Amino acid sequence: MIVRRIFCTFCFVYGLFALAGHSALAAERSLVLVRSEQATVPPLTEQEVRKLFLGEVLIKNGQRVQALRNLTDPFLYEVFLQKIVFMSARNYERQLLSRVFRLGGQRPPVYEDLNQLIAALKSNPAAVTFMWEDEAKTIPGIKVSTQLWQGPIE
Amino acid sequence: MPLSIRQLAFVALLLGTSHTAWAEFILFPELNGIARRDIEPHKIAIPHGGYPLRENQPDAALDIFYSADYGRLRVLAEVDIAREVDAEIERLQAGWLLGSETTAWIGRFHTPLGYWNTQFHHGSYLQTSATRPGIMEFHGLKAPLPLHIAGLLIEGAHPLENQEIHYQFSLGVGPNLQHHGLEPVDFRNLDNAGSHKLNAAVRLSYLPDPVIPDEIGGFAAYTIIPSIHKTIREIRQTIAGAFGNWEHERLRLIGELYFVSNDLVADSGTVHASFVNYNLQAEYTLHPNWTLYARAEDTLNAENDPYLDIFPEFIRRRALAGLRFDLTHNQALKLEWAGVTRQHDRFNEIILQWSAAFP
Repeated sequence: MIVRRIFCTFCFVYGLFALAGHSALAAERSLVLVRSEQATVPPLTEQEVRKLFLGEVLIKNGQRVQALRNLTDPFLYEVFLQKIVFMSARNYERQLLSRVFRLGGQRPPVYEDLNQLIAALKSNPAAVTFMWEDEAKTIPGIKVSTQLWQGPIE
Repeated sequence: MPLSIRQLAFVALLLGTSHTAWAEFILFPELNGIARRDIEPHKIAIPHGGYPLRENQPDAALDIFYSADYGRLRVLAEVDIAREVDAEIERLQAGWLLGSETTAWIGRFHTPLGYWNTQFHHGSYLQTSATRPGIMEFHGLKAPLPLHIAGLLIEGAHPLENQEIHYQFSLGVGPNLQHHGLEPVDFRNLDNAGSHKLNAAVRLSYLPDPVIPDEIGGFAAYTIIPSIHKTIREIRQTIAGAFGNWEHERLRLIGELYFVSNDLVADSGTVHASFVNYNLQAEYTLHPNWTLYARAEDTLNAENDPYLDIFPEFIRRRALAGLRFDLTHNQALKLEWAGVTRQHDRFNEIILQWSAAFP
Protein backbone atom coordinates (compact mmCIF):
# COMPACT_ATOMS: atom_id res chain seq x y z
CA MET A 1 0.00 0.00 0.00
CA ILE A 2 2.74 2.40 0.99
CA VAL A 3 4.68 1.47 -2.09
CA ARG A 4 1.61 2.18 -4.19
CA ARG A 5 1.16 5.62 -2.55
CA ILE A 6 4.79 6.49 -3.07
CA PHE A 7 4.51 5.39 -6.68
CA CYS A 8 1.37 7.51 -7.24
CA THR A 9 2.96 10.53 -5.55
CA PHE A 10 6.04 10.09 -7.71
CA CYS A 11 3.90 9.89 -10.86
CA PHE A 12 1.97 13.04 -9.86
CA VAL A 13 5.11 15.03 -9.10
CA TYR A 14 6.80 13.77 -12.27
CA GLY A 15 3.73 14.77 -14.28
CA LEU A 16 3.78 18.26 -12.80
CA PHE A 17 7.46 18.67 -13.61
CA ALA A 18 6.92 17.31 -17.08
CA LEU A 19 4.05 19.74 -17.70
CA ALA A 20 6.05 22.64 -16.33
CA GLY A 21 9.01 21.60 -18.42
CA HIS A 22 6.89 21.33 -21.55
CA SER A 23 5.30 24.73 -21.04
CA ALA A 24 8.73 26.25 -20.47
CA LEU A 25 10.04 24.69 -23.69
CA ALA A 26 7.05 25.83 -25.71
CA ALA A 27 6.88 29.32 -24.19
CA GLU A 28 5.30 32.02 -26.32
CA ARG A 29 7.66 34.72 -27.35
CA SER A 30 7.11 37.88 -29.28
CA LEU A 31 9.51 39.39 -31.82
CA VAL A 32 9.21 43.16 -32.16
CA LEU A 33 10.68 46.02 -34.12
CA VAL A 34 12.14 48.64 -31.80
CA ARG A 35 13.39 52.22 -32.09
CA SER A 36 14.67 54.85 -29.70
CA GLU A 37 12.12 56.77 -27.60
CA GLN A 38 13.03 59.99 -29.40
CA ALA A 39 12.58 58.44 -32.84
CA THR A 40 9.83 59.60 -35.16
CA VAL A 41 9.80 56.54 -37.41
CA PRO A 42 6.17 55.46 -37.86
CA PRO A 43 5.21 51.78 -37.50
CA LEU A 44 6.30 49.73 -40.51
CA THR A 45 4.44 46.98 -42.31
CA GLU A 46 5.94 43.49 -42.42
CA GLN A 47 6.66 43.96 -46.14
CA GLU A 48 8.49 47.23 -45.43
CA VAL A 49 10.54 45.54 -42.73
CA ARG A 50 11.51 42.74 -45.10
CA LYS A 51 12.57 45.16 -47.83
CA LEU A 52 14.42 47.37 -45.36
CA PHE A 53 16.44 44.44 -44.00
CA LEU A 54 17.14 43.32 -47.57
CA GLY A 55 19.04 46.57 -48.06
CA GLU A 56 16.39 48.56 -49.91
CA VAL A 57 15.78 52.24 -49.34
CA LEU A 58 12.82 53.15 -47.15
CA ILE A 59 11.90 56.79 -46.68
CA LYS A 60 9.22 57.58 -44.08
CA ASN A 61 8.04 61.08 -43.15
CA GLY A 62 10.89 62.43 -45.24
CA GLN A 63 13.59 60.56 -43.32
CA ARG A 64 15.50 57.48 -44.38
CA VAL A 65 14.98 54.52 -42.09
CA GLN A 66 18.11 52.55 -41.19
CA ALA A 67 18.02 48.86 -40.31
CA LEU A 68 20.43 47.53 -37.69
CA ARG A 69 20.99 43.78 -37.56
CA ASN A 70 20.77 42.36 -34.06
CA LEU A 71 23.17 39.41 -33.80
CA THR A 72 23.51 39.58 -30.03
CA ASP A 73 21.42 36.40 -29.84
CA PRO A 74 21.95 33.91 -32.70
CA PHE A 75 18.62 32.22 -31.96
CA LEU A 76 16.76 35.54 -32.23
CA TYR A 77 18.49 36.22 -35.56
CA GLU A 78 17.52 32.78 -36.85
CA VAL A 79 13.88 33.30 -35.85
CA PHE A 80 13.90 36.73 -37.51
CA LEU A 81 15.24 35.28 -40.78
CA GLN A 82 12.82 32.33 -40.73
CA LYS A 83 9.64 34.13 -39.67
CA ILE A 84 10.09 37.59 -41.19
CA VAL A 85 12.55 37.39 -44.09
CA PHE A 86 11.66 33.77 -44.99
CA MET A 87 15.24 32.90 -45.94
CA SER A 88 18.13 30.88 -44.62
CA ALA A 89 21.09 32.88 -43.34
CA ARG A 90 23.14 31.90 -46.41
CA ASN A 91 20.41 32.94 -48.85
CA TYR A 92 19.82 36.16 -46.97
CA GLU A 93 23.52 37.12 -47.11
CA ARG A 94 23.67 36.40 -50.84
CA GLN A 95 20.48 38.33 -51.52
CA LEU A 96 21.81 41.30 -49.57
CA LEU A 97 25.11 41.23 -51.39
CA SER A 98 23.42 40.88 -54.76
CA ARG A 99 21.06 43.80 -54.15
CA VAL A 100 23.79 46.11 -52.90
CA PHE A 101 26.02 45.17 -55.85
CA ARG A 102 23.19 45.89 -58.28
CA LEU A 103 21.59 48.98 -56.80
CA GLY A 104 24.25 50.46 -54.52
CA GLY A 105 23.57 51.27 -50.89
CA GLN A 106 24.72 49.26 -47.91
CA ARG A 107 24.01 46.04 -46.11
CA PRO A 108 22.41 46.77 -42.71
CA PRO A 109 25.22 46.98 -40.14
CA VAL A 110 25.66 44.02 -37.79
CA TYR A 111 25.82 44.35 -33.98
CA GLU A 112 26.96 41.48 -31.80
CA ASP A 113 27.16 43.56 -28.63
CA LEU A 114 23.87 44.67 -27.06
CA ASN A 115 25.28 47.87 -25.55
CA GLN A 116 26.65 48.95 -28.93
CA LEU A 117 23.35 48.13 -30.59
CA ILE A 118 21.39 50.20 -28.07
CA ALA A 119 23.86 53.08 -28.41
CA ALA A 120 23.51 52.98 -32.22
CA LEU A 121 19.73 52.89 -31.91
CA LYS A 122 19.66 55.87 -29.56
CA SER A 123 22.10 57.91 -31.63
CA ASN A 124 20.06 57.63 -34.83
CA PRO A 125 16.39 58.62 -34.60
CA ALA A 126 15.71 56.86 -37.92
CA ALA A 127 17.23 53.52 -36.86
CA VAL A 128 15.26 50.37 -36.10
CA THR A 129 16.18 46.85 -35.03
CA PHE A 130 14.45 43.67 -33.90
CA MET A 131 14.36 42.14 -30.40
CA TRP A 132 12.38 39.87 -28.14
CA GLU A 133 9.58 41.95 -26.69
CA ASP A 134 10.28 40.94 -23.08
CA GLU A 135 13.92 41.97 -23.50
CA ALA A 136 13.03 45.27 -25.19
CA LYS A 137 10.74 46.24 -22.30
CA THR A 138 13.65 46.02 -19.86
CA ILE A 139 15.88 48.41 -21.82
CA PRO A 140 15.40 52.08 -20.97
CA GLY A 141 15.27 54.60 -23.83
CA ILE A 142 13.87 52.29 -26.50
CA LYS A 143 10.32 51.70 -27.60
CA VAL A 144 8.46 48.91 -29.34
CA SER A 145 7.38 50.08 -32.79
CA THR A 146 5.70 47.04 -34.33
CA GLN A 147 5.07 43.44 -33.34
CA LEU A 148 6.60 41.32 -36.09
CA TRP A 149 5.79 37.79 -34.93
CA GLN A 150 4.45 35.89 -31.95
CA GLY A 151 4.51 32.15 -31.36
CA PRO A 152 5.80 29.21 -29.39
CA ILE A 153 9.52 28.75 -29.14
CA GLU A 154 10.73 25.19 -28.80
CA MET B 1 51.79 57.44 -64.36
CA PRO B 2 50.66 60.69 -62.68
CA LEU B 3 47.01 60.95 -61.84
CA SER B 4 44.91 63.28 -63.93
CA ILE B 5 42.66 65.95 -62.43
CA ARG B 6 39.67 63.73 -63.14
CA GLN B 7 41.24 60.75 -61.38
CA LEU B 8 42.10 62.94 -58.38
CA ALA B 9 38.52 64.20 -58.32
CA PHE B 10 37.29 60.62 -58.37
CA VAL B 11 39.55 59.60 -55.46
CA ALA B 12 38.49 62.73 -53.54
CA LEU B 13 34.86 61.83 -54.11
CA LEU B 14 35.42 58.34 -52.70
CA LEU B 15 37.38 59.59 -49.70
CA GLY B 16 34.89 62.35 -49.03
CA THR B 17 31.95 60.04 -48.97
CA SER B 18 33.77 57.28 -47.08
CA HIS B 19 33.40 59.33 -43.89
CA THR B 20 29.65 58.80 -43.87
CA ALA B 21 28.20 55.93 -41.87
CA TRP B 22 26.46 54.67 -44.99
CA ALA B 23 29.32 53.20 -46.99
CA GLU B 24 30.13 49.79 -48.41
CA PHE B 25 33.44 48.54 -49.78
CA ILE B 26 33.48 45.01 -51.20
CA LEU B 27 36.18 43.06 -53.01
CA PHE B 28 35.24 40.31 -55.47
CA PRO B 29 38.41 38.36 -56.28
CA GLU B 30 38.51 35.34 -58.56
CA LEU B 31 41.14 32.85 -59.72
CA ASN B 32 40.60 30.64 -62.74
CA GLY B 33 42.41 27.64 -64.12
CA ILE B 34 41.28 26.89 -67.67
CA ALA B 35 42.21 23.80 -69.71
CA ARG B 36 41.14 23.66 -73.38
CA ARG B 37 41.26 20.59 -75.55
CA ASP B 38 40.11 19.48 -79.04
CA ILE B 39 40.65 22.93 -80.48
CA GLU B 40 39.39 23.11 -84.08
CA PRO B 41 40.92 24.50 -86.22
CA HIS B 42 44.31 24.29 -84.54
CA LYS B 43 45.83 27.35 -86.12
CA ILE B 44 43.60 30.27 -85.51
CA ALA B 45 44.43 33.68 -86.85
CA ILE B 46 44.87 36.06 -83.95
CA PRO B 47 42.58 38.97 -84.61
CA HIS B 48 43.88 42.49 -84.21
CA GLY B 49 43.77 43.31 -80.53
CA GLY B 50 42.94 39.73 -79.59
CA TYR B 51 44.85 37.06 -77.72
CA PRO B 52 45.87 33.59 -78.87
CA LEU B 53 43.75 30.75 -77.59
CA ARG B 54 45.88 28.75 -75.16
CA GLU B 55 45.43 25.16 -74.08
CA ASN B 56 46.17 25.92 -70.44
CA GLN B 57 45.44 29.34 -69.07
CA PRO B 58 45.58 30.63 -65.51
CA ASP B 59 43.60 33.78 -64.97
CA ALA B 60 42.87 36.19 -62.16
CA ALA B 61 40.60 39.16 -61.67
CA LEU B 62 39.60 41.54 -58.91
CA ASP B 63 36.44 43.58 -58.88
CA ILE B 64 36.39 46.47 -56.42
CA PHE B 65 32.96 47.76 -55.48
CA TYR B 66 32.24 50.88 -53.51
CA SER B 67 28.98 52.55 -52.61
CA ALA B 68 28.21 55.37 -50.20
CA ASP B 69 25.12 57.33 -49.29
CA TYR B 70 25.24 60.92 -48.18
CA GLY B 71 21.69 61.79 -47.32
CA ARG B 72 19.78 61.15 -50.51
CA LEU B 73 22.90 61.26 -52.65
CA ARG B 74 24.21 57.83 -53.58
CA VAL B 75 27.62 57.23 -55.11
CA LEU B 76 28.57 53.93 -56.70
CA ALA B 77 31.91 52.95 -58.19
CA GLU B 78 33.17 49.66 -59.55
CA VAL B 79 36.66 49.01 -60.86
CA ASP B 80 37.65 45.76 -62.52
CA ILE B 81 41.26 44.64 -62.65
CA ALA B 82 41.83 41.65 -64.89
CA ARG B 83 44.82 39.99 -66.46
CA GLU B 84 45.39 41.01 -70.09
CA VAL B 85 42.88 43.84 -69.77
CA ASP B 86 43.61 47.31 -68.43
CA ALA B 87 42.02 48.21 -65.11
CA GLU B 88 38.69 49.63 -66.07
CA ILE B 89 36.17 51.81 -64.29
CA GLU B 90 33.14 49.66 -64.94
CA ARG B 91 30.63 51.86 -63.17
CA LEU B 92 30.89 55.37 -61.82
CA GLN B 93 27.50 56.71 -60.91
CA ALA B 94 25.99 59.42 -58.78
CA GLY B 95 22.35 58.97 -57.94
CA TRP B 96 19.63 60.91 -56.20
CA LEU B 97 17.12 58.89 -54.18
CA LEU B 98 13.84 60.43 -55.31
CA GLY B 99 11.88 58.24 -52.90
CA SER B 100 11.83 54.75 -51.44
CA GLU B 101 11.41 53.23 -54.88
CA THR B 102 13.11 55.52 -57.41
CA THR B 103 16.67 56.62 -58.10
CA ALA B 104 17.94 58.95 -60.83
CA TRP B 105 21.54 58.25 -61.80
CA ILE B 106 24.11 60.00 -63.94
CA GLY B 107 27.45 58.52 -64.91
CA ARG B 108 28.58 55.27 -66.46
CA PHE B 109 26.44 52.26 -65.65
CA HIS B 110 25.36 48.83 -66.85
CA THR B 111 23.01 48.95 -69.81
CA PRO B 112 19.61 47.76 -68.58
CA LEU B 113 19.54 44.61 -70.71
CA GLY B 114 18.45 41.10 -69.79
CA TYR B 115 19.06 39.39 -66.46
CA TRP B 116 22.77 38.58 -66.28
CA ASN B 117 23.96 42.07 -67.08
CA THR B 118 21.98 43.71 -64.33
CA GLN B 119 22.21 40.98 -61.67
CA PHE B 120 25.77 39.67 -61.67
CA HIS B 121 28.09 41.43 -64.05
CA HIS B 122 31.66 41.24 -62.68
CA GLY B 123 30.75 39.73 -59.34
CA SER B 124 31.54 36.11 -60.26
CA TYR B 125 30.87 34.99 -56.72
CA LEU B 126 27.26 36.16 -57.02
CA GLN B 127 26.49 33.93 -59.99
CA THR B 128 26.29 30.18 -59.52
CA SER B 129 28.31 29.36 -62.64
CA ALA B 130 31.95 30.17 -63.36
CA THR B 131 31.16 31.76 -66.73
CA ARG B 132 28.41 33.99 -68.03
CA PRO B 133 26.57 33.59 -71.36
CA GLY B 134 28.63 34.58 -74.42
CA ILE B 135 26.15 37.29 -75.41
CA MET B 136 26.79 38.93 -72.03
CA GLU B 137 30.59 39.07 -72.29
CA PHE B 138 31.80 42.59 -71.67
CA HIS B 139 35.29 43.02 -73.08
CA GLY B 140 37.10 42.81 -76.39
CA LEU B 141 36.37 40.75 -79.46
CA LYS B 142 34.03 38.38 -77.64
CA ALA B 143 31.50 41.04 -76.59
CA PRO B 144 29.03 42.08 -79.31
CA LEU B 145 26.57 44.12 -77.24
CA PRO B 146 26.95 47.53 -75.58
CA LEU B 147 26.85 46.57 -71.91
CA HIS B 148 28.13 49.87 -70.47
CA ILE B 149 26.74 53.26 -71.31
CA ALA B 150 27.21 56.78 -69.99
CA GLY B 151 24.35 59.17 -69.40
CA LEU B 152 21.15 59.24 -67.40
CA LEU B 153 19.42 56.24 -65.80
CA ILE B 154 16.11 56.26 -63.98
CA GLU B 155 15.31 53.08 -62.09
CA GLY B 156 12.61 52.21 -59.65
CA ALA B 157 9.65 50.08 -58.71
CA HIS B 158 5.91 50.51 -58.87
CA PRO B 159 4.14 48.53 -56.13
CA LEU B 160 0.99 46.56 -56.97
CA GLU B 161 -0.37 45.33 -53.63
CA ASN B 162 2.09 42.50 -52.86
CA GLN B 163 3.73 42.53 -56.30
CA GLU B 164 5.96 45.00 -58.07
CA ILE B 165 6.80 46.30 -61.53
CA HIS B 166 10.45 47.29 -61.85
CA TYR B 167 11.54 49.75 -64.51
CA GLN B 168 14.78 51.15 -65.85
CA PHE B 169 15.05 53.83 -68.53
CA SER B 170 18.41 55.03 -69.77
CA LEU B 171 19.50 57.66 -72.24
CA GLY B 172 23.11 58.36 -73.02
CA VAL B 173 25.99 57.51 -75.28
CA GLY B 174 27.04 53.99 -76.14
CA PRO B 175 30.34 52.53 -77.25
CA ASN B 176 32.25 53.01 -80.46
CA LEU B 177 33.74 50.19 -82.48
CA GLN B 178 37.54 49.99 -82.33
CA HIS B 179 39.79 47.28 -83.75
CA HIS B 180 39.77 45.53 -80.35
CA GLY B 181 35.99 45.57 -79.99
CA LEU B 182 33.34 47.87 -78.55
CA GLU B 183 34.79 50.65 -76.44
CA PRO B 184 32.43 52.39 -74.01
CA VAL B 185 33.04 55.90 -72.71
CA ASP B 186 36.26 55.76 -70.67
CA PHE B 187 36.27 58.33 -67.86
CA ARG B 188 40.05 58.00 -67.51
CA ASN B 189 40.65 59.08 -71.05
CA LEU B 190 37.86 61.38 -72.14
CA ASP B 191 40.11 63.49 -74.36
CA ASN B 192 40.87 60.53 -76.63
CA ALA B 193 37.56 58.77 -76.23
CA GLY B 194 36.64 59.17 -79.89
CA SER B 195 33.13 59.60 -81.13
CA HIS B 196 30.20 58.20 -79.13
CA LYS B 197 26.57 58.37 -80.13
CA LEU B 198 23.09 57.72 -78.84
CA ASN B 199 22.06 54.77 -76.73
CA ALA B 200 18.55 54.48 -75.35
CA ALA B 201 17.34 51.46 -73.39
CA VAL B 202 14.34 50.36 -71.38
CA ARG B 203 13.86 47.32 -69.14
CA LEU B 204 10.60 46.34 -67.47
CA SER B 205 10.02 43.39 -65.16
CA TYR B 206 7.30 41.89 -63.00
CA LEU B 207 8.05 40.48 -59.55
CA PRO B 208 5.29 38.37 -57.99
CA ASP B 209 6.87 39.08 -54.58
CA PRO B 210 9.37 41.95 -54.33
CA VAL B 211 11.48 40.27 -51.65
CA ILE B 212 12.09 37.03 -53.52
CA PRO B 213 14.19 36.87 -56.68
CA ASP B 214 11.51 35.55 -59.08
CA GLU B 215 11.29 37.94 -62.00
CA ILE B 216 10.06 38.02 -65.58
CA GLY B 217 10.46 40.87 -68.01
CA GLY B 218 11.45 42.39 -71.31
CA PHE B 219 13.86 44.98 -72.62
CA ALA B 220 14.73 47.00 -75.72
CA ALA B 221 17.64 49.19 -76.74
CA TYR B 222 18.76 51.28 -79.69
CA THR B 223 22.39 52.26 -80.19
CA ILE B 224 24.30 54.07 -82.88
CA ILE B 225 27.85 52.72 -82.82
CA PRO B 226 30.43 54.83 -84.68
CA SER B 227 33.23 52.74 -86.17
CA ILE B 228 36.89 53.30 -86.90
CA HIS B 229 36.90 50.33 -89.31
CA LYS B 230 37.61 51.42 -92.87
CA THR B 231 34.69 49.51 -94.32
CA ILE B 232 32.03 50.51 -91.78
CA ARG B 233 31.09 54.07 -90.88
CA GLU B 234 28.61 53.23 -88.15
CA ILE B 235 26.30 50.48 -86.93
CA ARG B 236 22.68 51.12 -86.03
CA GLN B 237 21.76 48.40 -83.59
CA THR B 238 18.35 47.48 -82.24
CA ILE B 239 17.99 44.94 -79.43
CA ALA B 240 14.80 43.48 -78.01
CA GLY B 241 14.32 40.54 -75.72
CA ALA B 242 12.87 38.83 -72.71
CA PHE B 243 14.23 37.21 -69.57
CA GLY B 244 13.09 35.35 -66.49
CA ASN B 245 14.36 34.00 -63.18
CA TRP B 246 12.30 31.43 -61.31
CA GLU B 247 13.12 29.64 -58.09
CA HIS B 248 11.18 26.86 -56.46
CA GLU B 249 12.62 25.05 -53.47
CA ARG B 250 15.90 23.52 -54.74
CA LEU B 251 15.44 24.43 -58.40
CA ARG B 252 16.33 27.66 -60.16
CA LEU B 253 15.91 28.56 -63.84
CA ILE B 254 17.37 31.61 -65.55
CA GLY B 255 16.63 32.33 -69.20
CA GLU B 256 17.22 35.10 -71.70
CA LEU B 257 16.22 35.70 -75.31
CA TYR B 258 17.79 38.37 -77.55
CA PHE B 259 16.78 39.64 -81.00
CA VAL B 260 19.58 41.77 -82.38
CA SER B 261 19.26 43.70 -85.62
CA ASN B 262 22.19 45.60 -87.14
CA ASP B 263 22.46 48.04 -90.02
CA LEU B 264 26.09 48.33 -91.01
CA VAL B 265 26.40 51.70 -92.72
CA ALA B 266 29.27 52.16 -95.16
CA ASP B 267 29.99 54.78 -97.80
CA SER B 268 28.95 52.24 -100.42
CA GLY B 269 25.59 51.47 -98.80
CA THR B 270 23.96 49.74 -95.86
CA VAL B 271 24.05 46.03 -95.06
CA HIS B 272 21.35 44.60 -92.82
CA ALA B 273 21.92 41.57 -90.60
CA SER B 274 20.17 40.12 -87.59
CA PHE B 275 20.56 37.20 -85.22
CA VAL B 276 18.74 35.59 -82.32
CA ASN B 277 20.49 34.41 -79.16
CA TYR B 278 19.14 32.52 -76.19
CA ASN B 279 20.49 31.00 -73.01
CA LEU B 280 18.87 28.84 -70.34
CA GLN B 281 20.53 27.87 -67.06
CA ALA B 282 19.15 25.33 -64.62
CA GLU B 283 20.47 25.02 -61.07
CA TYR B 284 19.70 22.38 -58.48
CA THR B 285 20.77 22.67 -54.85
CA LEU B 286 21.88 19.20 -53.77
CA HIS B 287 22.83 20.41 -50.31
CA PRO B 288 23.09 23.97 -48.92
CA ASN B 289 26.78 23.97 -49.92
CA TRP B 290 26.55 22.05 -53.20
CA THR B 291 24.80 23.26 -56.36
CA LEU B 292 24.66 21.41 -59.64
CA TYR B 293 24.06 23.49 -62.76
CA ALA B 294 23.87 23.30 -66.53
CA ARG B 295 23.45 25.89 -69.26
CA ALA B 296 22.66 25.84 -72.95
CA GLU B 297 23.19 28.85 -75.15
CA ASP B 298 22.91 29.22 -78.91
CA THR B 299 22.77 31.83 -81.64
CA LEU B 300 20.62 31.53 -84.74
CA ASN B 301 21.79 33.17 -88.01
CA ALA B 302 25.27 33.66 -86.56
CA GLU B 303 27.23 32.09 -89.40
CA ASN B 304 28.56 34.65 -91.85
CA ASP B 305 26.76 37.40 -89.98
CA PRO B 306 28.73 40.54 -90.99
CA TYR B 307 28.31 42.09 -87.53
CA LEU B 308 29.26 39.00 -85.50
CA ASP B 309 32.23 38.41 -87.81
CA ILE B 310 33.73 41.55 -86.26
CA PHE B 311 33.81 39.61 -82.96
CA PRO B 312 35.64 36.35 -83.73
CA GLU B 313 35.89 35.44 -80.03
CA PHE B 314 32.14 35.63 -79.52
CA ILE B 315 30.83 32.36 -78.07
CA ARG B 316 27.79 31.65 -80.16
CA ARG B 317 27.03 28.18 -78.88
CA ARG B 318 27.88 26.48 -75.60
CA ALA B 319 26.66 23.56 -73.58
CA LEU B 320 28.02 23.37 -70.07
CA ALA B 321 27.61 21.53 -66.81
CA GLY B 322 29.14 22.42 -63.48
CA LEU B 323 29.26 22.02 -59.75
CA ARG B 324 29.54 24.80 -57.20
CA PHE B 325 30.76 24.21 -53.68
CA ASP B 326 30.36 27.02 -51.14
CA LEU B 327 33.50 26.74 -49.03
CA THR B 328 32.35 29.36 -46.51
CA HIS B 329 29.61 31.96 -46.37
CA ASN B 330 31.61 34.17 -48.78
CA GLN B 331 33.84 31.85 -50.83
CA ALA B 332 32.97 29.38 -53.56
CA LEU B 333 34.73 26.79 -55.70
CA LYS B 334 33.26 25.98 -59.12
CA LEU B 335 34.15 23.25 -61.55
CA GLU B 336 32.70 23.62 -65.03
CA TRP B 337 32.93 21.64 -68.24
CA ALA B 338 31.84 23.20 -71.54
CA GLY B 339 31.69 22.49 -75.24
CA VAL B 340 32.26 25.88 -76.88
CA THR B 341 31.67 27.11 -80.44
CA ARG B 342 32.93 30.55 -81.33
CA GLN B 343 32.52 32.38 -84.65
CA HIS B 344 35.38 30.50 -86.36
CA ASP B 345 36.53 27.74 -84.01
CA ARG B 346 35.39 25.34 -81.36
CA PHE B 347 36.88 23.52 -78.36
CA ASN B 348 36.11 21.83 -75.05
CA GLU B 349 37.16 23.47 -71.83
CA ILE B 350 37.29 22.76 -68.13
CA ILE B 351 37.35 25.65 -65.69
CA LEU B 352 38.19 25.52 -62.01
CA GLN B 353 37.31 28.79 -60.32
CA TRP B 354 37.68 30.17 -56.83
CA SER B 355 35.66 33.31 -56.16
CA ALA B 356 34.78 35.29 -53.08
CA ALA B 357 33.22 38.44 -51.68
CA PHE B 358 35.10 40.28 -48.91
CA PRO B 359 33.93 41.30 -46.39
